[in-house]
Amino acid sequence: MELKLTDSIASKADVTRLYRELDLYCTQEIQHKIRKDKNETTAVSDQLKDFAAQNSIDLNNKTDCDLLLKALSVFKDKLVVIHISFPVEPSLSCVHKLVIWFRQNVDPNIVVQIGLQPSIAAGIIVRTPSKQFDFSLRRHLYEQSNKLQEVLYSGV
Amino acid sequence: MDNGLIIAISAVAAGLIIVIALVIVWFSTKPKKPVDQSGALVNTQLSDVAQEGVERIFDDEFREELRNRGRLHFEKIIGENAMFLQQDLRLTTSQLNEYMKTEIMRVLQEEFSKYEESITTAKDLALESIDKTKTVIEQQRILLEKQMSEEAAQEKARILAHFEKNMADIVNHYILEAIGNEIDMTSQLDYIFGYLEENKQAIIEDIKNGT
Repeated sequence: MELKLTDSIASKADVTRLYRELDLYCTQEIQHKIRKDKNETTAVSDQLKDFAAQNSIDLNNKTDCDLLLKALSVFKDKLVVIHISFPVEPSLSCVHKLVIWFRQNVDPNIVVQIGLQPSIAAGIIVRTPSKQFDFSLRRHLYEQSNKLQEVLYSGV
Repeated sequence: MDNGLIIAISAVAAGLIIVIALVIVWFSTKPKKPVDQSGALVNTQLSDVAQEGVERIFDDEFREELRNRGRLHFEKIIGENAMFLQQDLRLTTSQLNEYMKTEIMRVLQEEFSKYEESITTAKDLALESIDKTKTVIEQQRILLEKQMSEEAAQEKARILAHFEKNMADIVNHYILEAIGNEIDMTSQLDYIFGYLEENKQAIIEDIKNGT
């Protein structure tokens, strides 16, 4: 089963939390059926609802739930994780935009791990499994140090 | 004073000799009586006559006269000699003063010349020493100035190189300090997406290779 991640699921921690919630949901649903307590319902987060809808899964169907749980168990170990360092705490929308770009342009199964590195001042640093892509202002200043010198000395 | 006394005594002695000579002359020119007596008697008579003559010539008045004359002569000689002595003494004193003055002047002149010469020598030595010291100081100053200039230039170059080397960090740090709290990631997204587009292929390849 091919799973598609929703935009709200940005990090591996989100996937793990989703898996735990789904597992708990399935267990509770089983318990309800055993008790034959039809009035009792299990609360489900919007993230799980969106994820189920994204993958055309009916959470009220036990078979679908088990299938999704099994697929998610396998899927969470196949996630592609990239690390993005920000100079300040990024907003949720900013992270979502980046995640969408990565999923559209690089790999649909990408999740990101957010880190803080204030010394970069502006921009981001992206670390893939074996490379680092520095899009920070610091690197830009290093690359343009000759122009920086010219500007500084012309002002002196 | 002793010379005057000697002269006075000499004058008295000369007076006595003259008197004795007059007495001898008088006895030799006196008419002799007829020799009809014996030798002893004649001698006795002659002695008596001489005694009487002497007593008659050298009576108290004559002696007082001689004494007065001798005294006057003595005083005159004393006065003259005293005057001579005074003049001589004045002359001697004057000459002595002149001599002393001349000698002292000469000795002082010599000493002053020597002193001046030694002062001049010492001054020359001091000036020479000062000149040497000034030369050495000037050389040291030039050397020190050169060293200081070189060290200052080296230090300036070192600081400049250090500054240029860390200029990016310095500017980055300044920007961070200046606007660190006002950084908005949303406004940087266009810039970030631009870089991501530029490096998209490299990211895809690395992720494919990594997985």
